[in-house]
Amino acid sequence: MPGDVTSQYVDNHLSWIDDSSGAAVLDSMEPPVSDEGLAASDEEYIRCYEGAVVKPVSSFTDDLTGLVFVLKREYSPASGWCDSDDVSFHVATFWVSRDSELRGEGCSRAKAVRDHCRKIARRFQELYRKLPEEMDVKEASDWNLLLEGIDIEKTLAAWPTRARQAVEVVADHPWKVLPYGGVEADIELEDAPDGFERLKAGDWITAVCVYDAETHELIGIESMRPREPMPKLTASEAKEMLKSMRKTSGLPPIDWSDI
Amino acid sequence: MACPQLTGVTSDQTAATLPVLTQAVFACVYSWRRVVDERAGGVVHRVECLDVGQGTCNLIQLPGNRFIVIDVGPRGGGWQVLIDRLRLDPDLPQESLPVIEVLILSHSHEDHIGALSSLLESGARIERILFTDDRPIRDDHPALRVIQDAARRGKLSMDCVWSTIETDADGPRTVFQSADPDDEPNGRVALTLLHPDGIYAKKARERGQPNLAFAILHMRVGDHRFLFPGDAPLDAFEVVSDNFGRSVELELMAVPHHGGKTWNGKLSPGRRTRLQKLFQERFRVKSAVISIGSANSNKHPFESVIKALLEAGSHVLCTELTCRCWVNDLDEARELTLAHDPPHYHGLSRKTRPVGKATNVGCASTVVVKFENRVPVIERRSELRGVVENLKRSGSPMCTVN
Repeated sequence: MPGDVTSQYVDNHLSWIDDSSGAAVLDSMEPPVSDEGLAASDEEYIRCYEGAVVKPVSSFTDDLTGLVFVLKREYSPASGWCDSDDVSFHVATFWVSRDSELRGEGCSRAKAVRDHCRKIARRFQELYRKLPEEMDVKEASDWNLLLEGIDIEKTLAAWPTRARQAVEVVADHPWKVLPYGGVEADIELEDAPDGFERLKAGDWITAVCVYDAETHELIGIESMRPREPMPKLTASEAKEMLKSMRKTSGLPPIDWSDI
Repeated sequence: MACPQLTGVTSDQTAATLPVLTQAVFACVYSWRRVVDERAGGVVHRVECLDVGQGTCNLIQLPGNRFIVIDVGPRGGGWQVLIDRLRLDPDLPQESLPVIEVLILSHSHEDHIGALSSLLESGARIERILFTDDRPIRDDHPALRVIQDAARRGKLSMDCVWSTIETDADGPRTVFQSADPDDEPNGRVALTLLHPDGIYAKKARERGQPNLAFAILHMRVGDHRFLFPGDAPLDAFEVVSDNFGRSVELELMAVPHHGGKTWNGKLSPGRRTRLQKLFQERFRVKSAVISIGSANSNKHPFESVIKALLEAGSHVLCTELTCRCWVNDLDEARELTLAHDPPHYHGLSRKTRPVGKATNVGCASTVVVKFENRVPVIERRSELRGVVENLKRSGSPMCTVN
């Protein structure tokens, strides 16, 4: 993420100065006055001149969820200024147009960029699990717009899978766990919730397990609560259980010719 | 929903009838909108063979976040695909989780039931579970153990019905049928358990093979047929075919046993002929889907199985995108998958696994069948054609998409 910048008027031009280096990072014409409130127009937009010193961004982290979004290429956020009768604010975009709902807005350029990242993150998370036929026209359009800039393969590969599972602690100090139906894995205490350090080999927990999306390896445990061990059925118990179950012969029969 | 009859209204009655008329018009418009909305934006029916690596997991999506699940995939990484696909996020409230109308475990092998525990833990509401009592009872009967535990801890709804698939049922049984065919734009969905049945069970007993009790599921959506045979052996297919007594045209068949061995002993010329006859005369398969992972040491799929399908005119697709296919076009295939259906790209096979001998297989990742104007269409087929044609030119004899 680029550092904070401060806007200044210099010779009737609006400039942004990088707080850390003091260098001018963006230059613009005087911000115009608009009657259309928050709506940005071509006149309102102050473009980032070629050659301006702006730190490129190849990925960003959603500060609310911690999820990483990998971009298809490096973007130097285009920034601008909206001015109306009673409110003025910065706008920022990576690849979307400045009149998009996804544009970032803020009282500083850095805050506008952060807002843009958040809006992209929100919309992506709303849409990425939707099937194409579940999307309405607007959603499909937004999704295509997001895919223009986001490298979905790398992004999803960076997102962990989370699942609630029955987990057996198979060793302690150091800890090894075996999610039922999974494979044994080492767990460091910093990757486990409070109280995990009190678990001993043979304990069982119900846990929200976190897996690396690419390697499918267990990388941590988010939360947990104690549970009873998975029961072991004796042959006679299993036989009894099977006996008590319904049978498929009780389902409605159908003739072969009607299938 | 039928519109109320509006004829026979006199002028004197008009004023009094107006609110009724208005209501009727609204009812008609609402009903029409509902159908249009369902067709335009909602999922009506969708059949998916998930890329779970070396294992099997098939989904049938019904309207309203409802599913039929046939096998749940392997342990290890594969089960995560099902959890992702069903959107079983641990943070979601119960009402946002999907309803599984029927969960069917075709048999109790690890590559078909590996995700069972995680699925039951997830909190998804499961209406019915069918599993095959296909193993000698042992202390560690995996499916029973998990089901009993989930029920004991209230993870299964009190209304959830568990049934064992009997080897001695005397004929096919209806497992699921959509309630109101008028609400189904693609026609009624009917899922039927074809096998085991009494006839096969008798043969199995006569041959001393009591464990060959694999469930074969037949699904019909409107006029279109799908077959999910688990790991059913050749003999079972032949018995089912005998029972049909006619040639059956299938839109899609999940190839049994991952395209591996479906016969006992070596593949003799006689068995090869039976295999060819099965697909050329008995089951005419338009699209055959092999669920496979490169991490298999059984050399699945077998060339003989794929050859029999190709000779019968079937289009063979595999559920993995594997680096073991030796061309760069895989990147193109991945792009296609990602652009069309991101939730179904899980990249299980992206990495070359250190074990396994599966080669010459390609290349669809999760296979998705959607319906367009009541006709099932395999997604991305035309785009994948180019990729697969290149694979064939590169020397892979096993891939085809038409």
